[in-house]
Amino acid sequence: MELFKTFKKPKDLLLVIILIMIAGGIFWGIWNYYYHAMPQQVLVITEKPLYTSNTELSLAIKDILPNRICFSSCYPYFFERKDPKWVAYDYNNKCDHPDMIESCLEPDFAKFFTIFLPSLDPGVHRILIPVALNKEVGDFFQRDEVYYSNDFIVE
Amino acid sequence: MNIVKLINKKKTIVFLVLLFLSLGFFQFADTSDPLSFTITVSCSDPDGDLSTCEVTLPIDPTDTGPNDGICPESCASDSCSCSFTCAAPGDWSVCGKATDAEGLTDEDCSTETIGCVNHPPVAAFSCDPESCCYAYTDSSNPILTLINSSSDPDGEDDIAFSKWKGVRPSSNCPGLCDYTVQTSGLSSGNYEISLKVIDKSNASSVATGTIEIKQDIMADFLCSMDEEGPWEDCTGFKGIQKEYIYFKDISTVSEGAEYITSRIWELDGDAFSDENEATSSVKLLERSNIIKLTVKDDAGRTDSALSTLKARLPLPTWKEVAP
Repeated sequence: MELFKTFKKPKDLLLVIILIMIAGGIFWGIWNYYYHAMPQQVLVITEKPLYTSNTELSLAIKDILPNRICFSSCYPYFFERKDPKWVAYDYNNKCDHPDMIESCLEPDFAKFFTIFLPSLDPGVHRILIPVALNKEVGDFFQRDEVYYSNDFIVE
Repeated sequence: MNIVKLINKKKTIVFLVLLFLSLGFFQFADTSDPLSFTITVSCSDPDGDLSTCEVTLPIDPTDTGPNDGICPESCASDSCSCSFTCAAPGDWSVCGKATDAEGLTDEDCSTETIGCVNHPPVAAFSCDPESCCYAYTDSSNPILTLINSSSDPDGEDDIAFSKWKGVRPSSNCPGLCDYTVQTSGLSSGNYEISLKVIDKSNASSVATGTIEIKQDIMADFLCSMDEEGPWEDCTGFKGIQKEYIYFKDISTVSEGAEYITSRIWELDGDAFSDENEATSSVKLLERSNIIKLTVKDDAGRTDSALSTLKARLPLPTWKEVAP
């Protein structure tokens, strides 16, 4: 109550409110600038740069988005080969269960996976990860974004 | 009086002409070409005053008779020769003329039908092997060759061309040539083959015969992702890596055969089934896989079918592990 007594006139209160709004806007602008300056992506990194078919590949995925990312249960990833453009492999097109989300990754968290490489053509490859944003485990998977791994060679 | 003596038909003809005043000899001697000849006239005079001895060819050399060469010829000796080649087969006359110092002459001519008469060739062919005058569709085993056994009374060299017809491709070749039957693209059945031989004088002869093209064994198979089918043509069919793909033999046996006696299934050169199974299966390990089926029937005919099968990648799976 003492505070309000300092405003001798109503226009003083209005002035303070306007000042607070201006300050808030400045803070929001600064935060927004730095937020967007931060990396906005999903890091997908293979353990090694060189593999052979029919061996295991280790993969790390880190979510640097402000969003939760979720993975498909039918097609969590695809291999692509450079020939000379990136060409996706032809996959078995019959998933024997509904394409549900079976795992998600929270912002700033990482997960590690092992993949058994099938017989691939020799050459430069990468892994495409389709993700759904801000969904829950058990939801139907719907691709919102795709992220790519580093390039690696399959001998 | 003419005395004609055939020493060797086609080779040498000698005939004698006895003149009233002179004695002349006509001698025909061929050169390497059976239609090229040299005439030699021998003249004599009982008085011993022979002046010239001539040989003439009264028929127009550019017509049907002899031409070319140096005929006619006149010689101041008791012998005179000239050469000519026949422009075409036919009869022609040659004359010998003897003149003595007193200007008395005697001439004798002879019309001959030997030498420039062409004998047509005789076409004939046989199968090789003789007991096997057949071949199989789209097969080079056995190779059926038709042997050109044509002949020509004027000599084998007189045959200028041989023309084979009946199955494609037709074949024209110089001289005598055999013919290998190409069965590619032919359907089974009987085919009449004709051989025409043409000699250098354009006389010809035709021989015909029949060959049989039998339906050969044909290997083929279908593909499926399921043991029970549905079965599809393997062209363009895609399997899945590390999953079984199923095959069904739909081969047909050769003409005269009744059943398949052997089936060998191979994946990239390695047999995965050789127990005469009409259906078989294998896991595709590579992105591109070559499947081969070799079949043999009770007639001993064999055939193989190849199919290159692409394999899709299996469903992608991963396993989460601790960092």
